[in-house]
Amino acid sequence: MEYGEELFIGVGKAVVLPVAIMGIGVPLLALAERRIGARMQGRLGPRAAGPFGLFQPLADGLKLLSKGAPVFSGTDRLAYVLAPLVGVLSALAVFAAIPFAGTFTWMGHSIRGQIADPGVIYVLAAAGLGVYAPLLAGWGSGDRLALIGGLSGTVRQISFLLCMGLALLGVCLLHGSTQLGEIVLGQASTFGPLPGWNIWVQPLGFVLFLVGTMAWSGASPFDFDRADGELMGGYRRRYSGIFLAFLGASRYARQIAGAALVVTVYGGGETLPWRTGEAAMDGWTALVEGMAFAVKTGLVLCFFIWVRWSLPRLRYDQAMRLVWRVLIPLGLLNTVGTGLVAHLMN
Amino acid sequence: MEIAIFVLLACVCALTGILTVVCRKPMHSSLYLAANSLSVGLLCILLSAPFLALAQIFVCVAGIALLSAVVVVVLNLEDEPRKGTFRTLSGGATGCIVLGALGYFLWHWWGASREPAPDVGTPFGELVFGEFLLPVELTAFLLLVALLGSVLLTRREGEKRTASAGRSGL
Repeated sequence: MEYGEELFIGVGKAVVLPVAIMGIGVPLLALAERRIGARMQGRLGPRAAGPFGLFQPLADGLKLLSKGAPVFSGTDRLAYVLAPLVGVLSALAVFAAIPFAGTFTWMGHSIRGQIADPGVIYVLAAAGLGVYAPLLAGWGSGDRLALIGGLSGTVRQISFLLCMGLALLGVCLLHGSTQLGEIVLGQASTFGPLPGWNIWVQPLGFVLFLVGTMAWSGASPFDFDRADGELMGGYRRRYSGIFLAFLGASRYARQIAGAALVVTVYGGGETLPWRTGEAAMDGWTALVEGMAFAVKTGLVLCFFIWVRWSLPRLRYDQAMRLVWRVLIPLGLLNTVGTGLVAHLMN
Repeated sequence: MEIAIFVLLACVCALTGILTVVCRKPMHSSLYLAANSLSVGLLCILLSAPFLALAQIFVCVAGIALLSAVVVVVLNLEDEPRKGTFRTLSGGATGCIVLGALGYFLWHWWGASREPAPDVGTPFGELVFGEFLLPVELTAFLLLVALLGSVLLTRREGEKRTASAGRSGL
């Protein structure tokens, strides 16, 4: 493939994927959260705007856009404006490393269903950049409750990122690679009668990663940093208009990124169940695999929503106790145990 | 194309470095520091050192720069007041001398014949992660113990009493 074509395809993927996430994934998740929540509480939920309420997120977005981009007095303008952008960009940066389809041939070109594969260190680094968003929002708002919320959010993200990193270490040890593409290929096998996904081989790591991802992405019950009762909305309390829309979108984008990561690392990624080895694919097979990946990600997101509407919100100290006294020691145990088993098996 | 991106990133790196020093708002300085570390990481990617780049971003941007930002928030640091004329002039003069020296060395380096730098990274890595792996790991453990010890030593008496009362249910 010529350099120009390669560049064109690379830029195309780098543009299409974020647009699809922000334009389709985030509104659908926002709607699903409200519809499923309403269903669980015996309410009707939003259903007036369009068929099945499909246009409700659009209506909400337009409402926020119509409010403009207000920056209130007493704020630190740079930090205030930067916070939502950092949140969105860090979530989108995580997607760059996630394989959403295998390598396929389309119009004579071999295309890889992944923007790049820099590995899990990149994923953790990109996710770590999102830590700035609540801190900047809290500081930039010039408000005490927002600042407390921002600091809580920063501490939450750092703590649970550690938990995610420890869980990822076990998988990397098992597959002997830090590349997400190779981790997915390593799962294209069988584990007895089951698909050879890491969820069966690393059940403890899976639970740790799932909880860590939920908390990192700010899903309930770990959203104590923007609690309405205690902090009046936390670091979001002085945001409005387009900035508030971006803050909300960044949270949903993080949740989608987290769910996609769970699927990639523990759920076989884009591979269909019981498919073994890497096979040459045409565009249609890649499309089916891409849809399989979307369905798996959707199931994980439904689990997030189910937990969000089932469990009460954790207090800050409860969440910290959980992560530092339970999850991180278990993560260390999982890493050491996996290392020992891998060493003995080799 | 790559050279243009490299030059652009280098300019961003230099600019954010200067802004980190001269900015009067501590939080903005921390942000410029993070941007500086990020641009250095991206420069490393262009120099075909992806691991170094990711380590740079992970450690410096998501670690050190973030820590400095958190310290600014926790201490609630005010904006730096304007200095007197003498301090401004002396600072400017020192900066000019440093820049002049840097320019002088760069000028001579540019004219001199450049040979590829010897590979010191590989032997160093082999020593650290091979022959001296155990002492390095033991040092890391010692640092962890020192960290925990310093936390325990700096706890105030009142906190200790409160913590013990909390544990006993009083």
